[in-house]
Parts: sequence; C-alpha cells; structure tokens
Amino acid sequence: MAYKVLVVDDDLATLEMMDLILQRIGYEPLIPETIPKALEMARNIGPDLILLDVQMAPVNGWGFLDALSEKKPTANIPVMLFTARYLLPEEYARYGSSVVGVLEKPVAPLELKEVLDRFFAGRQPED
Amino acid sequence: MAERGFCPEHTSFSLWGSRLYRIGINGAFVGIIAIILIYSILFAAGIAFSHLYYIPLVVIAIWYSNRSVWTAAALSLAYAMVTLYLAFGGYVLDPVMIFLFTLLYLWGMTAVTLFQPRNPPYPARNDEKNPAFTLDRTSLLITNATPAFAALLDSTRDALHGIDFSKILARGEDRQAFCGMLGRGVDVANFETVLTGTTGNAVPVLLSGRPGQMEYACSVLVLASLTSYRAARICEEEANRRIAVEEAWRQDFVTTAAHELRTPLQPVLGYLHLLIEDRERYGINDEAGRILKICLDNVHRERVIVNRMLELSLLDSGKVACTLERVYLRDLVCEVLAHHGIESLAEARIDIPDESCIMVNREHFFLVLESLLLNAVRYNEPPRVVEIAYLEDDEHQSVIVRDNGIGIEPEKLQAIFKPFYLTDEEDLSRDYDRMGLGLPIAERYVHLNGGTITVESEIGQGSTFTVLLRKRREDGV
Repeated sequence: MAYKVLVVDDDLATLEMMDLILQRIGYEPLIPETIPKALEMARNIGPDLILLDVQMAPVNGWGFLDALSEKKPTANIPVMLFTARYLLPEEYARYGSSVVGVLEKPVAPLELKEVLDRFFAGRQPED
Repeated sequence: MAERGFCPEHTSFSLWGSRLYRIGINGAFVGIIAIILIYSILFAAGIAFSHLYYIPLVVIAIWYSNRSVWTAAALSLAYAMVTLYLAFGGYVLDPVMIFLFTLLYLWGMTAVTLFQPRNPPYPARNDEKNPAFTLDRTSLLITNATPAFAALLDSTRDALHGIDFSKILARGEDRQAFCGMLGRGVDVANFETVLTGTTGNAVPVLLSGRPGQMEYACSVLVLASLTSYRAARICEEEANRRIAVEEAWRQDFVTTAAHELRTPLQPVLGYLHLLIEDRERYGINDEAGRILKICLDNVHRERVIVNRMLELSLLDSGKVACTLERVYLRDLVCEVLAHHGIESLAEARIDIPDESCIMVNREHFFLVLESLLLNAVRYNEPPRVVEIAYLEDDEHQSVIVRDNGIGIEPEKLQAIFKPFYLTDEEDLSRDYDRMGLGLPIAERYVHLNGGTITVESEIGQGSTFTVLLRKRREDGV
C-alpha cells in the first residue's frame, strides 16, 4: 500500500502537478483545494506525511500547523515544509519533531522521490 | 573656610601682582633681582653668610613649582649671578666650585620643583586651541586666556587680562555659585551659564574649573558647538537607522522576490520532467523533446540563479550560521573533483598531505572549493592543469588553487568578487554557468569561516587563488 501524502498549497498549478508527480513516483496524493478542506482531510484520513506550503493565504503554513497540533490525532502527523521561501531553522523550531524537514521549491520529481523515499525508509504505512 | 566661598566683587589687587603670579619666568627674574638686593643689604650689614641665599631661592622654587625645570634653571642662573656679583665685589671664589654649586642647585631645585605638589593642570596652557582662562583666586581678575576664549567673547587675549570676572559672567548668582565652589576647593564640572562678550553678545557655555594655589583654572565648552555636535550625532544615528531599515527592506525584498520567482517554477519544472521522461505517453517527438530539454535546462538555470541571489543576500545579512568541524582537506578536494568530473576536463595535481586538516564548516568549504575549481576549469583552454596545494605556518593555513587559464587583467582582479561581475560580460548570455555569483559567494563563505581569499593572475599564464585561514583548535579558538 502506498504512503498517503497530503499536499497543502494555495497554488492550484502546483497542486495539479503534485497530484501527477506523486502518483508517478509511487505515492498516494491527497490534494485538497482549500486549506480548511486540507485540515478536514488531515483529521479524517490521517495522511502519512503532509507537504505544507508556508506562504499561503488566507491562512499561512504556521496557522495550519497550529490548527493541526491542537488535537492529538493530527498533532502526530509528520510535516515536511514545502516552500519557495527561505526559512531559518528558528522559524519552525517551536513545532519540534513534527516538522521533519524542509523542501525548497522548485523541486524536481526525482529529487522529491529521493527525499520521500529516504523519509519513509524503515517506516511502515499506518494501516 | 566659609569666607573663601564668598565671591568678592572687587579687591585692591593690582594687575602687577596678577602678572607676577601668572608669568613664572618673569617672576623668577624679579625674584632674582630682589634676592640680589636683599642679599647685598644683608651682606653689607654683616648679617648674611655666603651660600645661605639658597633659602630664598628654594622658597621661590616652591612658589613657582608649576614652572618646574624653567624655575630651576632660572634659580641656578640666579645663584651664578649672585656669586659673580660677589666676585666683582672682591669676594674670593673658586670658579670650579661655582660651577659645581651651580649644577648642584640646578639638580636640587629641579628636584624641589618636580616633587612639590603642583597646581592643577591649566587647560588653557595645555591646549591653546580650547577656550580656557585662569582667574586670580583672590581678586577674581582674569590672569590668562587662550586665543580661543578671547575669540569666543569677541576680544583679544591682552584685552582680557586683568578684566574682572563679573564683566564676562554677569549673572551674580551664577558667579557666586561657581566661585563659591572653587573657593571651597571643589572642582566644578560643566556649570551651565551664559557669558557676556565684549560686544554684549550672550555665549551659552558649560564652565569647568579647578582651584589652584593662586589661580582657578577654568575651561569652557561652548553650548552652541555642543548643540551642533548633538545635532550631528542625532543625524548620524538617524542615518544609521535609515541604512538599517533599507538593508532590512532590501533583505526582505530579495527573500520575497526569491519566493515569487521560485513558486511558478515548481509546476513548470515538474511538468517538463514529466513530459521529457514519458515522451511516448504524451506523444512527444524527438524535435519537441529537444526543445523541451532546452526549456528544462533554462528552468534549472533560473533556479540556480535565484538560489544563489538568495544565498548571497543571506550571507550579506549575517543570517547564515557557521558551525566548524575538522575537515580532511585532501578528501574534500577529491570529493569536489569527483562531484563535477573535473578530472576528465583537466589534469588535477593535488599537493596536499593526507593528514592535513582544517577547522571549517564542511558544507561551506565544499562550496568554496567547488567555485574555485570550476573557475579554474571554465576560464581555461586545453591542456588544462589545475593545481591544488596546501601550506601552513605557525599561525595560518593556506589552500592554493592554481590554473593555467586565460588569466584576469590586473584592473579587474578585485572586481571579480563583486556580484554579477564577469571578466567577459558577453559570456553572460552564452554560458549560464558563468553567472558571476560563484566567487562573491565563495569569498563570503571564506570570511564566514574566518579566512580571507586573494587572487594573483597574469594574462595568458593563469590565476592563483589563495584561501588563508587562521589556525584554530577544535573548539574554534
């Protein structure tokens, strides 16, 4: 069973592309159109990993992370920041271990596959 | 003493006396003449004994202690003159003894004048450029003034001599407070008041004074100049604040611009990869595939440029952290050479002992070596030779990258570390790797790791880049 990867981004072109790419590199994409839907999906489906854009409107990535960490089931979902913005480590330090890495856009499909494979190496999908 | 705090409006003190106190050297000569007269009278009366006249001489030395060596010289001269006078008067003297005694007096009185507690230093005399003056302690007449002080009151030094302090400090209560403190032997610092010039102009000042044996030494800080100094300081601080704001804005601009430029690249990069890697599925023929490949290369090019601009901006803003570690230089060089396949393009001569270690940030130094080695290959023609050497002395370690390339013109040597500078600007549009940011970024990384980078070059002969690092222990010291 493929790992479920939730992509949270406000750029529709990126979302559409990520849908295709994730399937191609062997993951199950979860592509919500809006941020509230993304939160709902995170709660209901429980993805294995969230790729989260930081600079979004109306709620930015930090707002989404705060909402995610409010309740236990979603608080434990690992999040990989997926952003075109340069981030200083201290900016996401307060989220501790829930932020498992930073992917700087633009990411080539092979680079994305490499990063995701490395992350999931040794992990079992949550059934 | 309470009465010393009182500031008399006027006394019968004569200007003569004031000048006598003021000009030590003149006073000494007057003293000498007086001594000769007194001694002659006492000698004629049969009271004085030879060599006893040193007593008044020593008294004068103490009196004019602040004149130090000058007083000693004058008094020794006085001794010689008195002795000669006696010789003319028929007194039998040994010239050798006179010389020896004169020397003895010179040393003795120099010692007296040097070890006698002195009057406080006179700022007016230490630095004639500062506004300062001296006041007679009893009469409160001005006994000396610097040209700067005279100019402040639209007057001259001579005109100010002997003038009553009340003429220039008209406010009675201020004068009484200032002189009162000095009279009680208290140093006064920055007493804010207004002086009156000879033309009646008001000069706001901060008066400082030190009580001395005979005089008060006073210095003046003009408030107008203080105000302009403060205004200049405020302007400077304001300018610094503005620069900081502009720098923060520039940094913010670069970060935002990088975000805005990189975001649209994500779908382009993703789709181009999809199309090129799965041409059959999307029905792409060879020609279209070739064109798409060019597009992909250019997207990569833009990605690298934007990333490097951002990197440069972050380095300039000091936001890049630098953690040092022990790095085996030879291994790192080999890693860079292998990463870019440099050895297939050039003959690499490595002259680095296996055990050579440097204390740097490995990732940063990888980028530095990468930049230098790629430059050595790019600005070169076959047969390319790149030498990488290591030198060290007690304090420093040097990593040297030398090539046999086209070289850099002397006037362009320093400019190569400026962003977007290329020795041949036309190449900018042709060769995307030459984007002119590699060396500036390398230089900043070297600085961040506590080193410097220098370059020497000769046209047609090649260039030598030297990274000089200060030797550090593992704790970074």
